[in-house]
Amino acid sequence: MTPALRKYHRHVWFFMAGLLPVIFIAAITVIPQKRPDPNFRSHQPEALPQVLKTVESLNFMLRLRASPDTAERQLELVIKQPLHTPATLVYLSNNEKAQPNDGVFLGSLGAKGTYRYKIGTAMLSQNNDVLLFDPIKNITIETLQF
Amino acid sequence: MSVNYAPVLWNRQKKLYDRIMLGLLASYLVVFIFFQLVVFPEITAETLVIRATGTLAFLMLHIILCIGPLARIDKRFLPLLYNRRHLGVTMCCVALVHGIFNIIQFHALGNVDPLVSLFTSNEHYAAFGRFPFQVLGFIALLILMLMATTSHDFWLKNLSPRVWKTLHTMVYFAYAMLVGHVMLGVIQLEKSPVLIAVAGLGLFTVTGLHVWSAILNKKQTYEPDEEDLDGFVRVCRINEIEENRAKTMMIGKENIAIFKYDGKLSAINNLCRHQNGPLGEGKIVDGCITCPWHGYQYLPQNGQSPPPFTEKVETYDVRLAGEWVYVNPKPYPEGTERPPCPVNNIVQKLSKIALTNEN
Repeated sequence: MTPALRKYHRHVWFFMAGLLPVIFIAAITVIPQKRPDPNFRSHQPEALPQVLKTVESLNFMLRLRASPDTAERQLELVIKQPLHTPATLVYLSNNEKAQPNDGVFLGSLGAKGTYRYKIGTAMLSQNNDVLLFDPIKNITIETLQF
Repeated sequence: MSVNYAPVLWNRQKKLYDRIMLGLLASYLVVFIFFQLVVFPEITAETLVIRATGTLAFLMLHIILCIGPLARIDKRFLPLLYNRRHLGVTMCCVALVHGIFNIIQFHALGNVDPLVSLFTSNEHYAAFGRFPFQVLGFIALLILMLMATTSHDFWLKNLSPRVWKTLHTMVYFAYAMLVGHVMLGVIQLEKSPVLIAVAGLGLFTVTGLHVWSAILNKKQTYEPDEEDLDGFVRVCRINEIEENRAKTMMIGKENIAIFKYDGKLSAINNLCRHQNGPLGEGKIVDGCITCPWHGYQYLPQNGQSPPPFTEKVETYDVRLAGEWVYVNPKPYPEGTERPPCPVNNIVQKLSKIALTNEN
């Protein structure tokens, strides 16, 4: 190594020996103390007491819930395994071989956990499908029939 | 060294070096993946690849950066220096896998171009804690790729050793970027004291070794201020030079290495013609001065590479007066034959006694 290059190395490392510990310590001081709760979801309604139907697959559990006092119905979707898709939309459809566009948009899914969607009895028929749709790849991930 | 072009000049040492390196890399990946699957059973394959390659590349960069100062501090580490180039290229490939998987995982599934998304998905460029750390990693990866693609003697020859070496010192800038990438990325997200401790240990080791070797090197630099008769300068006692090794010194602008071998002394320029490697930190193998960086060889009496090779360095006159070694810092043209200075055994013994008494 030429003396000039050796000297350059020396200067660079003396500078780095001063700079890098400062970055290191500064980065530790700005670590956020509060972590976002991965299971936190806002506006999650309480579960209705009666379970009318339950459908289960490898990754999901679907329950149709009802209230004894009202005509209100509720779809409860439990994600058992973390989703592999960054965005997942939920549609309710009454048609066989339904496409997402045919159904009613209920909401979107995120982290593993339980999601509840309020539905009216008019939205239900004898055969109902819940479609889980990936809007980025434009594919249906899974269809749950109940 | 070669007279004919070959993409990679394989030899037994290089093959052994690469096999050990690949074996260690595979072992690390197996252990890391096993550990991750035990601790995080729900981890996805993509995340596993990102974590495994990211930690491996960062660890390899630390090892690469430690080899240089370690070899200067202790010659036993010189074999690690020999094929460091392959280690660097392998590290870049591992880092590239990490980068590609990250871009696919976090930026390729939207309706924005992945590279645009990389720079625009987090725009907190003015906030230290929320700084877009992936951008730092991307810049470091570009530097590493530039270095890996020019890690060949073709580029060394065409860019010149000085420009090439200066280009490759950009690795220090890349290292600083990667420290920022890790500290503002995974450390902020995971908050694990173990990760912080490991990152701090790596940082302390790399910077500490470089500063230590720089201080040692500055102490070892010999710059005599007295000039004796006939232009010769007294530099050291004969016993300060180990057999088949050299003592190096700066006299004016001349970087000189004086080698002792087979009862003789010879002085040549300290800079290897390949990459300006420190010839004086190498040793004499099979009668040739062997550069510790990549094994380029020179004959001590004339500074020429043995035929059919064509590299040459400057030579200098050496004298021995009593136990003292003198060198004339006026260089002879590259490859000029200079008669070696004979060393008497009695003089060596006297010098050893004198040194012991002084100590």
